[in-house]
Amino acid sequence: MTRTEDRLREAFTDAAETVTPPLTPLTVPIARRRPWFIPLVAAAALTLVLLGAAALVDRGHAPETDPALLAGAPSYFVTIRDGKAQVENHSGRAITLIPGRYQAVATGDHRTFFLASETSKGVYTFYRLVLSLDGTVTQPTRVPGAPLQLEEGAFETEPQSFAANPDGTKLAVVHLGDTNAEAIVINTRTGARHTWSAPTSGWIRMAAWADDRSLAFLWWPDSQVVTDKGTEIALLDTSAPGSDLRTARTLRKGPLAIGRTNDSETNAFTFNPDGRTLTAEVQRPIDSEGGDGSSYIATVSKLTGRPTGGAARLHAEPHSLCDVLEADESGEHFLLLIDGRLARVDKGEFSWVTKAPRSEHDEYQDAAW
Amino acid sequence: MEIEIASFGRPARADVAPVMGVETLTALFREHHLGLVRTALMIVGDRATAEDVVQDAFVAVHRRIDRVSDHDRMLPYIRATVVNGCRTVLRKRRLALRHRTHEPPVWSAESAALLGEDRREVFVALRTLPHRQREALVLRYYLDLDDAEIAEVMGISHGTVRSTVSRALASLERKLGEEA
Repeated sequence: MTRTEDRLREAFTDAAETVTPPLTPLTVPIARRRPWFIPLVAAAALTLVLLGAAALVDRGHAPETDPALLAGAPSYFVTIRDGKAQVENHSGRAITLIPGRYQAVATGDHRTFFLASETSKGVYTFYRLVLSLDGTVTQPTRVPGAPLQLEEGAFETEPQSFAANPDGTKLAVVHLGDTNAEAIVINTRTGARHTWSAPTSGWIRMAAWADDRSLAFLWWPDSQVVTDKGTEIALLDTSAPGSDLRTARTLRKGPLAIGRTNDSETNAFTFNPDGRTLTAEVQRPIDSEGGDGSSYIATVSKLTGRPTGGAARLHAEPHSLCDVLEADESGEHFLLLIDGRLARVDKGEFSWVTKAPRSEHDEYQDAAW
Repeated sequence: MEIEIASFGRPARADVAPVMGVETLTALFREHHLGLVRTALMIVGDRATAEDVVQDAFVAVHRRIDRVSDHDRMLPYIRATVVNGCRTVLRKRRLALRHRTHEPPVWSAESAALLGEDRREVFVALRTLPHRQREALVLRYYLDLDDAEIAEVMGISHGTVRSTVSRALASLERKLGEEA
């Protein structure tokens, strides 16, 4: 036992002792089909709280979006919820259940969709299907190549770490290994893989293809950077030789400016069909200078990072977590996943597609259109 | 080893399993609630969040109770759920700027008064480690789990556990100025 190990044990023991009973009583919802409240073990403070059956009948559709705003938007999208993939219509109603269990979905051409399935602990295989204009889908067919070993639950909190390029010939996965940040590109025709990696003490997430060969992602190479300089959007040329992730160039460093503040954070972004701009979700901090934790999507120049139009406010709770931001083919409609709930921005107007989830089972994990 | 889960929609022991599962879960809750909160505290840094994470973990396991057929494996399963919950919290903290100035109590300056400067120094050094290294150290040196148990909780191989702990200790020694 080294001195460091001793100090660790002592520090853990002392810190643990700062937590003493009583603890907050625990409440857990009982089986969803049983609409009454049952105290399970009162003495242990394990109280079972039932969700009302009526609340579970409708898994939550928000009021319909103004039809005029929907003109030209995709009629259907593919979602992942509770491990199930399904096709839903513009109001979030399920049209088709896709067989199998999946954790993430991606599309590059808005017609061919790729699904990631965790077949065993941390082992992923990928499937391809085609969505027709009438909402029907083909049977998922497996993308060639060996299963990909990642961390268990790799896409649970990072659904957009998985992305398909515009022509559907490449999939990308970005993830954080034990000490390395990695970007893995998979050829969907041959299954061939190319991995770029770099040591990091920071974080990598949120993959998006700028074009068929350029992969962008959010990267904080140094864990301290995020607190000092905000988010970096890096761009990797996947057609270039080599395997060093540090060859990725910085596309955008520091926060995107919204209004007066330059202290915002980007959680998700997507490239627009015009090839010149990207749209990013931007969240203001809560601070003494008027920041209220509100979120927006803003379209900015890919080159300068400067806004090229107005920003649409997302009417979500302060500091909501936006996991998904997907543009449609026109660039006028955006699909979002905020705190497990689907939302959309149509021609600058925000609306919820689904109601707030009442349980983990109601939470969407991923969506694409 | 992972907890054995029956096929989705087909409880392993249709009528018996859920009742037994709830009893096991209740017993685990009685015995391990405090310890799990303390474990989460070491990873996320504050008691309120640690309690939330543990509550969410029990809720999640309870929801799937009819699919848990090996009740002996329920504790590792809950531990893994707690660690995953901590990861989600840490990720959200990274993304949310409200935590830019947030100092979780365990490693804040105030904790020096409570725990002493030496302890605080350790937690400040721990905070700079990648979160997986921090998790591994908490599981090894607070919960006294062995490589296999840590591997199960973290979802990584035994070899990766050893290398992660080793790298974490080396890094910690450097930060604490205790290099051999």
